[in-house]
Amino acid sequence: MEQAPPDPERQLQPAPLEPLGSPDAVLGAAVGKETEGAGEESSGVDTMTHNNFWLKKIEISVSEAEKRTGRNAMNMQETYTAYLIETRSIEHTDGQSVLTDSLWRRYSEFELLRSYLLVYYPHIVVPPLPEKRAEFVWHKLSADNMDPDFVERRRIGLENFLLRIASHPLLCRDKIFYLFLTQEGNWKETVNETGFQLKADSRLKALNATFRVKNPDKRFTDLKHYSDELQSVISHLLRVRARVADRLYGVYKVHGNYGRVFSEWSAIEKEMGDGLQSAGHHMDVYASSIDDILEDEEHYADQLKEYLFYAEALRAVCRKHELMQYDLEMAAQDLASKKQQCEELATGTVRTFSLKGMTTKLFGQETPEQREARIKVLEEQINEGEQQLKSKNLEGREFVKNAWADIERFKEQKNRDLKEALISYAVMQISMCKKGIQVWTNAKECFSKM
Amino acid sequence: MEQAPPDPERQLQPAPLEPLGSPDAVLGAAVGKETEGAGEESSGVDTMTHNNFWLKKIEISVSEAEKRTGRNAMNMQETYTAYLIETRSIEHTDGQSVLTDSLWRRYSEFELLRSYLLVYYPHIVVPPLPEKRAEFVWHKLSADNMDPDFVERRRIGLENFLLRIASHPLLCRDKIFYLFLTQEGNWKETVNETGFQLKADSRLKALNATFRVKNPDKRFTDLKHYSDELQSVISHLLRVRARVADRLYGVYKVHGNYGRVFSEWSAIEKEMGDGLQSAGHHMDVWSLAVSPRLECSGVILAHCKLLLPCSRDSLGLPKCWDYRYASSIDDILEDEEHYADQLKEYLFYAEALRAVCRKHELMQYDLEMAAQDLASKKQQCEELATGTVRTFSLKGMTTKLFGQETPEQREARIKVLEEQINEGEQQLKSKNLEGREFVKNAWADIERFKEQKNRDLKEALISYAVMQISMCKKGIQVWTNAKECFSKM
Repeated sequence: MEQAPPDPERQLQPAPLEPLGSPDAVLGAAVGKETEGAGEESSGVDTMTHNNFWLKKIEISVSEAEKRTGRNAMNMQETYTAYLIETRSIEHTDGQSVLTDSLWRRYSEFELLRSYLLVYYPHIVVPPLPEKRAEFVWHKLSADNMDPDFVERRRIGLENFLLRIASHPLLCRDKIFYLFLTQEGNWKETVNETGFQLKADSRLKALNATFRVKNPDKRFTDLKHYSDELQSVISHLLRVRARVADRLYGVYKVHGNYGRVFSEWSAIEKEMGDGLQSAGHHMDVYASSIDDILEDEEHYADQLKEYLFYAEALRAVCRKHELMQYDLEMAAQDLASKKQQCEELATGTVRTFSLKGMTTKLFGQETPEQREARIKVLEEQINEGEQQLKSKNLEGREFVKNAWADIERFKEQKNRDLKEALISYAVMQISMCKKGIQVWTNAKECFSKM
Repeated sequence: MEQAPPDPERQLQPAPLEPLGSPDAVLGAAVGKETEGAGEESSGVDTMTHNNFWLKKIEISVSEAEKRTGRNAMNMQETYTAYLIETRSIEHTDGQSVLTDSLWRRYSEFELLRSYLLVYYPHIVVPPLPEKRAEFVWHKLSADNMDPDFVERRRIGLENFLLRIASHPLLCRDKIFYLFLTQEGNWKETVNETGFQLKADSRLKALNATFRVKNPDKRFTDLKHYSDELQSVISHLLRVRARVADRLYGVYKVHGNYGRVFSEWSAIEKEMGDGLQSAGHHMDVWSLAVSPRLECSGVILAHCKLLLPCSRDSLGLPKCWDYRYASSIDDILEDEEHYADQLKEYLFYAEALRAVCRKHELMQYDLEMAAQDLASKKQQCEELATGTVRTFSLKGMTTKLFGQETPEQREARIKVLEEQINEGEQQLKSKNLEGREFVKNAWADIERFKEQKNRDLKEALISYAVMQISMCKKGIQVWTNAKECFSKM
């Protein structure tokens, strides 16, 4: 029921998109800026994989973000940000890219797409969206959603989201995803028409299953624990990062004070005046360099945050498994109960309580014909039940198999991405130290010449 | 009156001390540690100057500091620190040093020495003493006078003070200074017997002169302004330094949190576990390295053992870079304190400069008053001679009230006045001469001081830049190692 049916209606036409290996390549492949026609700066990634059995390759970029005002459902004016999504196909032969589609979407539509994917691909670790509101900010950054820096980082995050889907061997073929990229008007209606909201499991049902399931697959239980711990560790890391950024910011800015003091001093000295003045300039340069450095650092934080949210996606798959397992256990229990009832009716012994048994006691025995009828009904139900149980079992095992395959894929992606992110952070720290050396070497030169 | 009389009694015997050029050489020449017989580590400086016309050279070091208890003037028990001053003479030929004198002094005796020098050498920019109480501290340091670090830094400061005096062409020959180094008992009495406290100008008199002087030498007025501004700038500099040190310290500490998080993380990952663990250890070493003193060295050691199995040196300490690196961070921060102390010295020198300016103002005011007094007497004399009364005088008043004085009385008075005028003119001439001598000598010393200041401050700033560069290099080291760990994951 919940697996993606091999439905030709939902195949992606005309070609699946390039699976892109690492997040750096993902971001590198399609970084756009907030200027007109900046889409040109996107470049495709040329890795071929077994999924690309069409000749054309496709690039996706979220190239612009724009403030809009409109009327919401309650006919009240609201301000929101719209994002321009551009899709290009690359001619295999000459590498030229041609703009094939271009449309505007807002954040809520991305959310809708993701909700849909969660329902139709419950065994897949569905890529997460960038955060709705800024969290783990350090003091310099604003937590305002309309802040240009936040909007820019969200634009990059949304692009990353689309590229992750495009690089997933299964998700990239989804028709709704294809329409998201190509059909501006009526897309929302199309999604809603799939009736996916009805198919969604209720939160309550899922919670119930989590508590009552008796024999979940141990691997999923372990995975759930792992995702909790990963989320916790990454939260800590983000908090430490924010604290380090805050303090580093403070250190650099305080060097601006050195600049001021050296300037004052140069005014009262004859021989040392020039040297002190130059040194003062270097201090000021040092103090202002921190702003760019910390902007870069935000990207690193965003990469970590993505995995913070991925933890929730992992848990969603685990929940689905628990739900299916619980469903299976309930079905088995129900079947066993019916079999027992049937047996009791056949042998005449009443061991289980049943309404019929009660009414029989109260109102007198039923006739043999009535009993036969009932046994027949039960036997039909038992047959049906056995069929259902068999197919649920099969579904369950299929789910576990497919889910685990995707989880393995995800694990490798995670290891690669986090390793890259940590290396980038170390490289950033190193380059900061190098800049520091540069500034202080220059200052030392100034002092030596005094 | 205030200049140093060429008094053989006060010449330094047997030899003047080596003038030492830069403060680094000063500190390098005689750095002692708090251990017995550490004086051996002092080494002389071999620069010869025109002041060294004796064959022997002398080294001074303040090599130890010791807590003592005793009874003060009010017979109450008190704790104070005593400092061991050792003087060595170096045989010119073979460079060997022989301990010639060794005695203990406390801070108040240094203060007494300086007060004496201020009175007898008012035209000299007298070297300042290290601060009595710790100021401009950043949070890591204690502001307690009994704190071993503070005592150590004061020991170095006192040694610096003595070396500054010893390298001054004039001050080094002072007998009281010589006795300070050589005569333990009775030195205080000897100083007091010079009666210098009586010769000291009163604060009130000096303040009065500052406000009322009409024609001070412009150079001194400018110098006063300059010393105010220098003091202000150096105060700012020290404040900024303290703030930077505080925040840098905070940054390094926070890296310890990274260590903890990486450790936690390594516990839940299979493939990345080892890499994260190692990276975490590197972060810990970095943050622990800035902990006060080496109480943490044990913990650093434990981390280093985990980082790599390595050979040990003769002391049993691991021969890996981490331990050396961690200790060297500590050294760097200690050096930073020295840089601050060098700046502080010039903060206090500003006051010494102002003292010379005040003396000039006092002398100039004295001169102006004497000239004014002389002019007034001359006028009185003239009036008496011509018979006109233009100026108010008590005699004139009484004459009007009680009748004219006799010609004999008038003659007598004129004679007295003429004598006073003569005396006054002599005095004015000699005061003028003294004043010009003072200005000339003072300005010569000020020029010497300016060059010393430029040299010293340039050195201090360069040292600070070098320290910052070292810190950055350490940072590169840590993060390069961390990057290695991540790459191997």
